[in-house]
Amino acid sequence: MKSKLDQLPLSLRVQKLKEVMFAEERFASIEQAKIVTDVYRAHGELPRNILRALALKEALERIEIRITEGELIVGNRTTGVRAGVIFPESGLSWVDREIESLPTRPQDPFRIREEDVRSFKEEIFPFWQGKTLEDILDDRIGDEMRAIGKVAKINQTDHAQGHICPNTERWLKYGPAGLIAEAKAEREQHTDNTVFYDGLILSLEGACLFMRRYAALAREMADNSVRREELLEIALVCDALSERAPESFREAVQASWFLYVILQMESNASSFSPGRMDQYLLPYYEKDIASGTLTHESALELIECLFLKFNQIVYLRSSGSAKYFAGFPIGFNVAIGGQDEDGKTAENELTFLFLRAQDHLLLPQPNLSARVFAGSSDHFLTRCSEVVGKGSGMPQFFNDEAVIPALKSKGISDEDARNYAIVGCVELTTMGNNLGWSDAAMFNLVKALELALNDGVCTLTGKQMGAHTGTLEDFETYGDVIKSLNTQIDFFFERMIRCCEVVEQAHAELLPSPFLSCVIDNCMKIGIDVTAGGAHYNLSGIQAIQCANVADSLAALKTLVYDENLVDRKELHAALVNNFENAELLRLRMLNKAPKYGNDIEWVDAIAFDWARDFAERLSRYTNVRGGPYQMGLYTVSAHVPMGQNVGATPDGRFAKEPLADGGMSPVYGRDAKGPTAVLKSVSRVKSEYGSNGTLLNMKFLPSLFHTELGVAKFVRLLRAFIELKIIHVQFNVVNREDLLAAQKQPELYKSLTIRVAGYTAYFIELAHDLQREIIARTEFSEL
Amino acid sequence: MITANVFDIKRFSINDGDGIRTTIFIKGCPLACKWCQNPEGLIPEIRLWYARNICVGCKSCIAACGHDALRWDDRGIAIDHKACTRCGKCVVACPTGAIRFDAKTMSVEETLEEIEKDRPFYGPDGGATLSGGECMASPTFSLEVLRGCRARGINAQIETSLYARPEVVDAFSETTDKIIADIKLIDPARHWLATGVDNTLILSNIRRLAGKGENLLIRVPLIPGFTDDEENIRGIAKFVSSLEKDILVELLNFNPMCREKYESLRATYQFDPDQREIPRERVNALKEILTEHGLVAI
Repeated sequence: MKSKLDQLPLSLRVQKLKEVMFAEERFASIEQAKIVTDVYRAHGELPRNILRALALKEALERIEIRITEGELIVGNRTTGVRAGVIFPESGLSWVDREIESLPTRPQDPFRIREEDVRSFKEEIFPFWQGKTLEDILDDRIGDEMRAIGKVAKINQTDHAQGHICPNTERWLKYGPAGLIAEAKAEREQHTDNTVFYDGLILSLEGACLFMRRYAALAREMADNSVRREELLEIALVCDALSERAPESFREAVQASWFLYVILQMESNASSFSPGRMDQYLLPYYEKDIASGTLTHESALELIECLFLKFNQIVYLRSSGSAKYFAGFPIGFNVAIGGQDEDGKTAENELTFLFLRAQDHLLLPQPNLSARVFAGSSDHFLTRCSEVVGKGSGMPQFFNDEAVIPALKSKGISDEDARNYAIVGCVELTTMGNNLGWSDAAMFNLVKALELALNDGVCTLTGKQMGAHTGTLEDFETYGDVIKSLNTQIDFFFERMIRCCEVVEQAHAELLPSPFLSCVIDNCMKIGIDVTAGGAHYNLSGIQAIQCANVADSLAALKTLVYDENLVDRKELHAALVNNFENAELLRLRMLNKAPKYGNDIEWVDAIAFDWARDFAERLSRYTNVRGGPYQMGLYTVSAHVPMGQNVGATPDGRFAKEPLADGGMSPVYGRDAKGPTAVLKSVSRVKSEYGSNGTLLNMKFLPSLFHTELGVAKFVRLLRAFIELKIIHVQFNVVNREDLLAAQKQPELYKSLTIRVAGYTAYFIELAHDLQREIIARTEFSEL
Repeated sequence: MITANVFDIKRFSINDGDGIRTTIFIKGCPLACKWCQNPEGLIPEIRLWYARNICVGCKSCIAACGHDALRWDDRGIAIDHKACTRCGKCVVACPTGAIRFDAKTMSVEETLEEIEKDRPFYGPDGGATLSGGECMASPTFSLEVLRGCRARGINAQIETSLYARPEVVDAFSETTDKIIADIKLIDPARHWLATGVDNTLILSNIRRLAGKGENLLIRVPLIPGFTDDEENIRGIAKFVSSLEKDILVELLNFNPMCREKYESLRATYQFDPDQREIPRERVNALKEILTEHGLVAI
């Protein structure tokens, strides 16, 4: 049964704003870079936190601002929307190399004005050479990072660390003015550490200024505007927020957005996550609904205005990084639903309004995450399923039954674990008190396996990269293979941890973040910056990549080489080194005639789990420089493509340089031949407590499943099983025409597409070609 | 040990009964419908199967065969089933799985284990469905599987032609939560011509089951040129509306996707290769006939 909230219409205003936003061209911007450079030039001698706070304050005061026709929620860090902001402190070498090619690069291009290129080359870049995080890290550990990079890729080396969920609730409770008062009071208590508090206060003063500038602009525009009343209302809201905490729903939404804009201006980092907005905005919503100052329609419109805003800030990455994280995901991750501190469902009217907003807009941001658990209502799961059926891939699902225990196993309190949110794409966090450093490094286990089978020598370059462990030809038993792989992992592990430590220290030294420290619990109290360990929780996450390929490769070796003696190890070793040249039948056999992860085969799934668990246990022996634990993640986002390019041919029949399995938990494309239930069963065997940094499972469905109420009900049942199986995460994509066209070109990648007809079953790729084409023609969603 | 030859196990079945189900396809069928969408299920014995679309033409299978049962022609691998001893050497030799056995002999226990695998997905209404072929043609095996499901608290349903002796049908109805039965044609002569058997037994089984108040769903496959005429549908409507219990009727549209299976079997496909599903308006018009007779049609 649909409720009224599920059927609210899309307003003309929001529709227009969306059209206008996507019609606008995307530019790279050096405006803030200039301001920051000016401040560093003039005040280079000041302590780094003060310098950073001053640079932020200066930017908040001087950066050009704009209010777009029709907007209700205002604020951005550039006048253009979706601009790529060049940010000097973290790294400019790549910008210098790539600035001219920004408009023409294949992934995520940006236009750039000629005078900006000149100004960058002449004024900005020369000043920063040797001073940025990127340059300093290159100086300190560049060679080391390059030596291990194909196996252990160290991240956060040329940008500030985001991936953090600020305490928005606290920001709403006090506002910048209230936080200034608190910082001043703390400064009185910490007479030996006043510099730290001076930084906080400067940044907060900047925030107040920024809000007042929007108020002034709105008032100025009101004079000649047809929407005079609306602009005056904007002015009132912005002025009020610069002086006091928000009181209405609208003020709270506007205040939240200002927070994220300013955090982006301070750090220019990926993901400042709003977290559980349907929880902390609820008191404002309920109060206004009760008093009659807010209607469901106007609340939805404000939420949708905020959703549009989430799409206006994108993150400019180097071309290399853009390959790993395509589509400039900025990670405004909003979590809805889930449970409260007593384990009861936390769903409320706002939960459903957020779903309706996603239903209407289907945009890449926010990254909408539905928290689900045994106590989730059927109505919630049904609405989530209906929205998934629209094809935006959202909401993605996080399972309280798996996440909460996983977080608790890392020392998170019960209360904080129950209140978890998500940062970035899929990384788990507590709300407002945690620097999770969730993307410290990615460890390519598949590359380690390649080296393990070839005496530590890279089969792509012929370079000695790892330890001398012999080649496949030398390995008499399957146990020898395992031993060699363990040796290779150990070889890179120590080196990776040492690099991570140096990187974290450099952040604390070069990129202290006073504004962020105001909204992360504990920093203000103990007088320590968030980058230096001021947060209540301090974790570091390292991703193990990719269990599916490791399981498939080892299962193929075990079955065909060691158990059944069908394949000669010498022959296979030569084929791997030569990328299966003149050995196609051998490759097909390795690919097709050995069991694969993702088909509910216990012993194969156990291989994936064993390596994941071992990796997590290795990590648990280390403590990061902020004094917190390391934890493992099992996700790649889009990194499975470039990481695959680094890996030679593998025993699962994968050619050199082909992508690895996508996601993190997903089976390799097309190898899950037994359908979605078998995939979920396999994934559930990789126990969740080991994926506490976050895991990623992608699944695809044909759109027809969502066309009937009965189909949606069956999908809900699938979700219930996902909950019961205690899998951390799943994201459902609806197969579109492009997928099916690709299936025709490369049918081996789509083995798992099954056509479901009563009393009948067949695989898509075994259908006659004309019928394949027709199914393609009938499949909708071509525009998505 | 009680076994059957199972030619497919389809997990996440969403069109073979209620909820999410695992459907077990058992080989062997007393009917031989000219439009059969699972022609590999007609005969009870396991045979070699060839999937032309995934064959790479390496002919490893021919090289491995010691019985001269395989040869290569313009349609790919041709199988001489008389010469084939089912030794399986070609199956091992094939690097892609294009040459394989069309079914696997499974015990009741093994089958129940497969059904168990998806238990988390079944919920209160989902479960297992026995299909085929014809599950009533392997009654001992099928009944044991159904009883096993019941003992495990798993909902069990069957898809059947109901072409079986009344006592067999009754045994099934006692161990099944739902029977999904076809009425393909109402006219006995036409039924005989199209399926090879008379429908008197089928219709009397249906009447008896309805009389006992069984949970029954009638399906009518709409096969162009065979079953999709108004006269047939009207006859079926009259029959169903004369039953003692109100029974839901589902019209199942023609499935052209089985064409490639006939190619693999090198058997005659009864339809124009371009024959597709019956247009929605036509199906709705036929549905209307059922509704006019006071039936609930889906």
